[in-house]
Amino acid sequence: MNVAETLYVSFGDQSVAVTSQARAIVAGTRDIFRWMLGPPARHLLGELVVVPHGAGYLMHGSPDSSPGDRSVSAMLRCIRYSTIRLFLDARPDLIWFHGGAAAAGKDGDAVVFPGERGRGKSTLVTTLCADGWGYLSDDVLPVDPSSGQVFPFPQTPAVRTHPGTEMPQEWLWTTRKRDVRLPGTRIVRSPRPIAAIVFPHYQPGADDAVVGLTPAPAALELLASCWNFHEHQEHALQHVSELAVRVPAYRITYSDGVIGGRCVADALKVERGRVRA
Amino acid sequence: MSRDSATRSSRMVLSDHVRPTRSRGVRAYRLGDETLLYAPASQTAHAVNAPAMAIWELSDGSRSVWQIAEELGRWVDRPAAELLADVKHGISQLTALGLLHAS
Repeated sequence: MNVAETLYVSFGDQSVAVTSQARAIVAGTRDIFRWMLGPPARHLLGELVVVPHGAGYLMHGSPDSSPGDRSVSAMLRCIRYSTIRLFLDARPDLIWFHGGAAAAGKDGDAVVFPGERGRGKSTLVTTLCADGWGYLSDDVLPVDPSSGQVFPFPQTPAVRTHPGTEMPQEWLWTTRKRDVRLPGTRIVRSPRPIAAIVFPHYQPGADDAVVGLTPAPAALELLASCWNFHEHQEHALQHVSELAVRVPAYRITYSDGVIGGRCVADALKVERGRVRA
Repeated sequence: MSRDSATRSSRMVLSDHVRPTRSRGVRAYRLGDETLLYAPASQTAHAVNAPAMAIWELSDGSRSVWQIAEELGRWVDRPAAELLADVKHGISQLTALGLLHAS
């Protein structure tokens, strides 16, 4: 007989509990949130309970409806999404962007990589981390508008194995990603000031190139990646405008993650002594 | 607003005597030489350059299209007649984006 196990995923002083008897679900959740697990934090936001249902699994406690009979991989995506959603709803004081972030050195400032899925955020972030940068997130960017700092949301980074051609939209939803293991010493645990914004664009066959952006297009792209713009609206516009004026922004087009990562690091070294790799 | 409707609107015939007005509630956020104009009604933001911003600011309902061209002409030391076509084009585009009313 299997015994239910509960994992606590924490962000600041808040936790989401994930409970299941299914070993594959518990192990998968552990893999996704490896660096965010621990004892329950001060505030428990909710409990996601995953139970067998038909040929698959069903989740209770999700902020969204959860159809049953989900496969393990589909259920793990639900758990990941629902967990993020619970944290997002619990911290409306933060502006949440879809994007990754890495810090230049253990105590360095953060470079953020906003963008939709399939743009190559995770590839660039993990490439930089393999080169000694600190890891904050590959997909979730909670930013405190009052301090201008980005909080770590260090879920396990996962990259797609690119097929070498332009990716159709459906492919971005269905294809499995490969987890990237990082040593614990790479995980950044405290908020960091944002030193640069880089909008990635993975494009098979393209020449790797980094171009600077003026503040207005940078602000518009950043706003397009904002998850809770509806709640903040003019507050988010004010913050994003200030951020776009204050920090340099770039667009990188790349076809090779390693070269792309080096392009980013080189551009930032040249442009800004504040970012120390 | 779709690109098609923006294109249609940018082709609209605009009289020199029309007095364009800024759309209600539109907010401006300065970013150096550029500005973001945000229309709460449609929850959309648009980046505009300095000439477009000048047209938007001068469109307070008190000036005609011709007078806006005259005002801009004084700033850049050019006759209004030379700027009129560009001013009309700018007003049409800002109207298409819901940032101005020019009817």
